[in-house]
Amino acid sequence: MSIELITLLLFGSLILLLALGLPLAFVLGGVGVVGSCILWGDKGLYLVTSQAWGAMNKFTLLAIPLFIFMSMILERAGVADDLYTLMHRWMGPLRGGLAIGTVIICTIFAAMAGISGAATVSMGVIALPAMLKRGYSKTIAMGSVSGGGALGILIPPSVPMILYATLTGLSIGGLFAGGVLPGLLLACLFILYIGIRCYFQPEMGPALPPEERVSWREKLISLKAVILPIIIIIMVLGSIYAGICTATEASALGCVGAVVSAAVYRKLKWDLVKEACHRTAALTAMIVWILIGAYCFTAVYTGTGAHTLMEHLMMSIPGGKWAILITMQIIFFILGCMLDPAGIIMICTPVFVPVITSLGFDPLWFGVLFVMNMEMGYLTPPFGFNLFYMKAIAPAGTTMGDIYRSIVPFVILQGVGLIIVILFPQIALWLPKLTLS
Amino acid sequence: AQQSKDQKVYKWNIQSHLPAGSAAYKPLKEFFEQKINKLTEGRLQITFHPAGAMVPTKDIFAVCRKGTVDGATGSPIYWMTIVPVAAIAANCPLAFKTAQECLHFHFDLGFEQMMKDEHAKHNLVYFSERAYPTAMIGKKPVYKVEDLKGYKIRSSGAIAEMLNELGAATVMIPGTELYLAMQTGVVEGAHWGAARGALTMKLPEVAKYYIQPDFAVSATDCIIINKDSFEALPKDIRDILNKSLKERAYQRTVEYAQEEKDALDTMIKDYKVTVCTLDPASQKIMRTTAMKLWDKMAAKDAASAKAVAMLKAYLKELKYID
Amino acid sequence: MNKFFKTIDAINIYLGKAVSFFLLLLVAVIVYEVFVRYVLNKPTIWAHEVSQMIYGAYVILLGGFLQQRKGHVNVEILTEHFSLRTRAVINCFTWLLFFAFCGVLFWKGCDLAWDSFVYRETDSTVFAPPLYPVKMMIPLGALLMFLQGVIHYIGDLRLAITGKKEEES
Ligand code: NA
Ligand code: NA
Repeated sequence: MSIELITLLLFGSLILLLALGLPLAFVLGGVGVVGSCILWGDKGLYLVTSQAWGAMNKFTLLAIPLFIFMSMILERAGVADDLYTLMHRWMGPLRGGLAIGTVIICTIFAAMAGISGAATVSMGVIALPAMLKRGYSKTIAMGSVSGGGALGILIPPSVPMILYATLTGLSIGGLFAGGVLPGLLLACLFILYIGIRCYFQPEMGPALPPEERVSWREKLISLKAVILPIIIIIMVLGSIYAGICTATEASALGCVGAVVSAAVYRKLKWDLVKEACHRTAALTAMIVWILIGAYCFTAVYTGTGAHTLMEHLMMSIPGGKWAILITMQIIFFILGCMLDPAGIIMICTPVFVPVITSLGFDPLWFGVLFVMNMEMGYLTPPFGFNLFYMKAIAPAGTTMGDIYRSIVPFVILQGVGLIIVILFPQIALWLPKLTLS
Repeated sequence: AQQSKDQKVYKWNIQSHLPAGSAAYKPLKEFFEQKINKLTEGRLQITFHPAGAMVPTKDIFAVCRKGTVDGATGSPIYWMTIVPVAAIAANCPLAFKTAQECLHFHFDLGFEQMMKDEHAKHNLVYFSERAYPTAMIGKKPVYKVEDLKGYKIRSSGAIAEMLNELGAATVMIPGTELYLAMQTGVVEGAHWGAARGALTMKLPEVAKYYIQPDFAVSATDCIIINKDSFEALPKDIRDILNKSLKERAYQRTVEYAQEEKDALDTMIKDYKVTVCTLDPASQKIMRTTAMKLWDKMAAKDAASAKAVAMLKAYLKELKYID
Repeated sequence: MNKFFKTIDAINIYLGKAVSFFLLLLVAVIVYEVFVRYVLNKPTIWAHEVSQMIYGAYVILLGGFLQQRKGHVNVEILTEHFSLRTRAVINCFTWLLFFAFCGVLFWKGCDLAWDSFVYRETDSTVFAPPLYPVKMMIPLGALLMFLQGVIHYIGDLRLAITGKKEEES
């Protein structure tokens, strides 16, 4: 069987089973089991368990429950709601102001977490109910969270960047620096879009009704609501960048910060903590079981020789360095619809990066383009992980259709951002040059 | 019929514990995918995967034993609780001073055969990959053992125990977090191979002191092959593998020593790294500490005891110990 | 039969709720490590591994808990147009993959845990904790999820055959 045919069969059965309503974790895991059994027989099946054991041992995944728990406590203690009330008061007349604020908070979150899932689910828990409560449309509310949440892998620290750097021999610090401006660029694009869209369609993100607008004095008083969240953010970011602890450990400090602020709010009751624990458990299990399935599937696909497919594809691309670069981006995009970034790095970088370097492109710039492309992958159906995370936290009655629709404009914006960085490589390269020299 | 059976094509998956970007990965991939293909005239076709592509690195021993992959490269440290003698190969700090001594111990004094015998009990065929040094890079200089007091070092295995005894604070931080942890100072030192490994992990960007002597010179990387897969091969292919893998261990050791030298030059020139060497008295204290750990490993089982006795006899001959 | 279902439900609910408190333990261990490392400059040799173990057991044991809540997310963009019975019929086929997945995880997980137990495998670190207790959580977690899936499957099977939805208990 050729790798082209295997690819078609594997991806085809994924899409079919997903469309038939089997949960994503079991689609990925089940196809992984059947695939490994057909390819390697009985001894191949052990791969599935091995991958589950691998997922249980990934230190970077520890951040997922920690971030979610922190957000749960902030939300349940009313800290999150106060934060949004404040935001609404300050940005009262501005349409879409809450969604813009959400993107800004997502950007700050992105600087704390190295993976996308943690930030997306955390922000979903905090921001989604707050925005919906104030009359924001699902499209803007969910789109801003899933788009903003994806920034986690572009703005340092970033686990996929570390993987890419160690695989290609690039400087990790350089790649991190390369992600900062493109990350901010995307955040700005999101903000502009939300602002413009809500300006013309106020019902998408209504401004604060004039009778609820308050005086400057009251605005200043309400600032005290943000003191606690800001202290938590300083605690987490500060502890990472001051060298007190690693990024994962910082999220545990964030949990302590959240519990302390709940106590300050006099909302800290055992019931609140208990409830937060249970919900955190369910959301973490949802994410990690999807990842276990995804690891199984990717391992099978890699084991069948996915890199051979990439080699074949490379040989069939028409000449011209730009044609090759664009084809690679398209391949990333298509794979991004199906696989997780770590799997795509494994399959593609060994084949692509030598080609890129020989064409005279900067591999660091290419790495940034790759991560930007992976951000789109978190949002693109059928297998955009952020879509599924959204589904798990969205209020009852939200269908996958709603979620798919909500991300369309944001994927387009991510694409625009990608094109801008392709056309102006300096956006990615300026900061690394500055820091490395 | 015999003729056609011998022309059968065998397809293997081998997974490495090395990331595709590391310097040691490319020669391995070339060897397994191209050289073996050529030597066997296309009868053994191997796909060589980078770390984590098919199975998690941590589980490589089990996966290879069960035949999920036909072979793997790894560090025997991962499974030294299952095959105790593996600890002597990978985890005896301050034993040899040169890679040649290490190879002599393995291939001429019979240690390699011991490793093969112990691994055969677990359905595995064992080959040492190459001998190479392990050395530390850090953010603070170390000239005396006292300088190690309170030094936060990312370390593991017997080296970590030794450093702990000497007053360092050893920390276990996964590879993906190492760079950031070093940059920010959560840890101040680490050993990831020696100079070449440190460069792969980009540590010289954030740590400027390279500490000598090497903590260990050992055959810390190995190749394990599932015995069923191996024995399914016709005898001539097995002979080719046996012979070429042994030759390769020597050749790669020599090449790698050169790569280490080049890497250290790069570190000194491009990254302005300073080499610090511990004074002789400190080195002696360090070795005494290490030897206590050898004895601890010798107590694990009969094979380990025999191996440590062999090691000590050889080092006496070299006049490294009394 | 219904009694059996109720037992499985109860196990997954209570065990899952109990396991969900592991998180507090996880926070405590990590914060303790940061404290002793940064403030006392004496990192522990155990905190990293213990936190990884707590996390490992935590995620693998929660699969059944989540299944009990029907919380493994899916896409219903196509199936929402079908009748409940048609959906049940489809599930009767697609959920076989669920059983393949959990079944293999249980079967090979027993293998993995047993090997580890036989050799009393420990982590290859200074702390060297035994690995088999956590590895045993893999077959246990898979079994819990498998049994919960059986309940779900029988419900779908009934609906597919009789066309009647079973009463919610
Ligand atoms: Na980030
Ligand atoms: Na995707």
